Amino acid sequence: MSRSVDASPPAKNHLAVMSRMGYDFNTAVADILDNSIAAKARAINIEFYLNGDSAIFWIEDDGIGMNENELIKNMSIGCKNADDERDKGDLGRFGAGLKTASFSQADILSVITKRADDCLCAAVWNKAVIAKKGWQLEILDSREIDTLTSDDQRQRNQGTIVRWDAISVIQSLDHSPDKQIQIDDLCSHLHLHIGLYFHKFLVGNDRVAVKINNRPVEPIDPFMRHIIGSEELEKTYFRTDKGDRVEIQGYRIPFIANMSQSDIDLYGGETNIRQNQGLYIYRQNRLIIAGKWMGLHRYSNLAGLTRVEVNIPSSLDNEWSTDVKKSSLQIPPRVKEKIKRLLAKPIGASRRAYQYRGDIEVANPFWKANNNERTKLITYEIDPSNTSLQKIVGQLDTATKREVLKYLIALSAALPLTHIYSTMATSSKSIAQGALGDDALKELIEALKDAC
Amino acid sequence: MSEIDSQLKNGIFVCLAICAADGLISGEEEQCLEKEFEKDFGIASKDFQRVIDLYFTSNHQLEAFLLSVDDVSLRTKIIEIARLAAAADGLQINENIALQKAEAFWEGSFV
Repeated sequence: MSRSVDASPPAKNHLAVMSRMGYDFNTAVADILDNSIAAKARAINIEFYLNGDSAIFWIEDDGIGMNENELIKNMSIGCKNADDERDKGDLGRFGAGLKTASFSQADILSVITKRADDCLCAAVWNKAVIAKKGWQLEILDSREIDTLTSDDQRQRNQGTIVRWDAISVIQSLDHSPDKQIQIDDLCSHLHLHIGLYFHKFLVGNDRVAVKINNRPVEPIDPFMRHIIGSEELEKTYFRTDKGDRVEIQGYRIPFIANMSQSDIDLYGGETNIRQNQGLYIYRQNRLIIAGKWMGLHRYSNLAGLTRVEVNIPSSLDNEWSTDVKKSSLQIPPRVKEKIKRLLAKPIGASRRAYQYRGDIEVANPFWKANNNERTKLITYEIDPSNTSLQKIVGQLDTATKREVLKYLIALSAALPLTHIYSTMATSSKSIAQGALGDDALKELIEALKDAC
Repeated sequence: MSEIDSQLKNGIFVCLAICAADGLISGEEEQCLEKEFEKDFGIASKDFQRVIDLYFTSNHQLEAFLLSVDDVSLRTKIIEIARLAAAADGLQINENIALQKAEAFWEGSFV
């Protein structure tokens, strides 16, 4: 007869596994922000600073807070059943985010919280204690809470503070200046991450004000709707088994040439803008996947202006296999097929925009693009029917005419296409092709004088 | 909300079940159904949306809905609308099978 034995993992090893769930600093903070938003916070302050030699990080929100029982329940690992359907506005998934995200970044997690009708309470998970005593949660008394909070914080009516101490990425550095540089760098990336992944929460009447070290986080709209030239394409939706709508909206972003340098910088530079084509999948308005085709289309320069917004409700979490970090998901095969068909229009819009622009560029009296239908090859040539060229060539004697034509044919053949392509792909705004500048004109006149 | 006749409601369920045979009901399918039922039966958008909600809370299969529609002229109309709607975003194989099944069921030849 079979028998069962207790094979539960030692707390220390369990903790080590939990600490390596694949979070980075940004995704870990984003997971904590999910809880603040679910708690109906309107203001979230993030502070990250050096206190002597060690770094302190905390997120403070003015959400509904918790009483002691709720706090203890929420501090337990996997406090919610992943199969339970979440309320609208609840961005959680497994009830593990707060802990796993925190353990991935810090050795000590403290949560200090207060409901409007209750008293302040606090609990601490300390990796060293867990390793020694197992999953023993420390509940702090008022004196201990005082050491973790300021007078101002203790006087708030409601809200929650999540505090990290002994932050691994900072502890690994030896010198304070390096630590400060690292903190500044992390904060700067965090600004962009929150600005993008929570951009829908940072605008509108119900917006949440997020500050990092007192600097407000600005929303970053991946569809660039505030820039002239961006275009909203067809919006559509479909319903799956549970009847909830999955909404899809295509966008064509503006040409980089039409964007200001500050916008280009905001979106991470020209290369990033081009590469960030693809699907933007939101779960309850929170961005989960940013700019990936997820196997539904190939990355291509012609599709560089395509962005497709997909909104899924959290009721489809199981079907879409959202992970603990809420930073990846799997599109169900039947939905994949449907989205694939819906992508044709937005990708077509991007392709047409490029082709139209291309047509405009070759529709000039100096160059022509020969498109050979049979060989499917395109050649760019100096247009021999150009009136000015014909006039000049007509005035030349036969020998010179031959030399000039030979030169023009060689000039066409030597068009630096690869260089142009590579420059266009990396820094199209640095190309200032146009009429000759004064200096170049002077040089040309001098050269002609010498030739005469 | 005006009360929709039970037979008609089941007729809408038949259309929805046929459109959902490929696993999804697309916006195009839903809009087509809404338009056709408004045109032919005067069902307001709000009422139609409630029927959709009822459909998604129901555990019945296509056969159960088919059994609940007796009116022969209504059956003909329902098949016509279902075909139109299922084709609104391209008729998928599974949708076509469901459509054929519904026709055969009502003609009494489904085994």
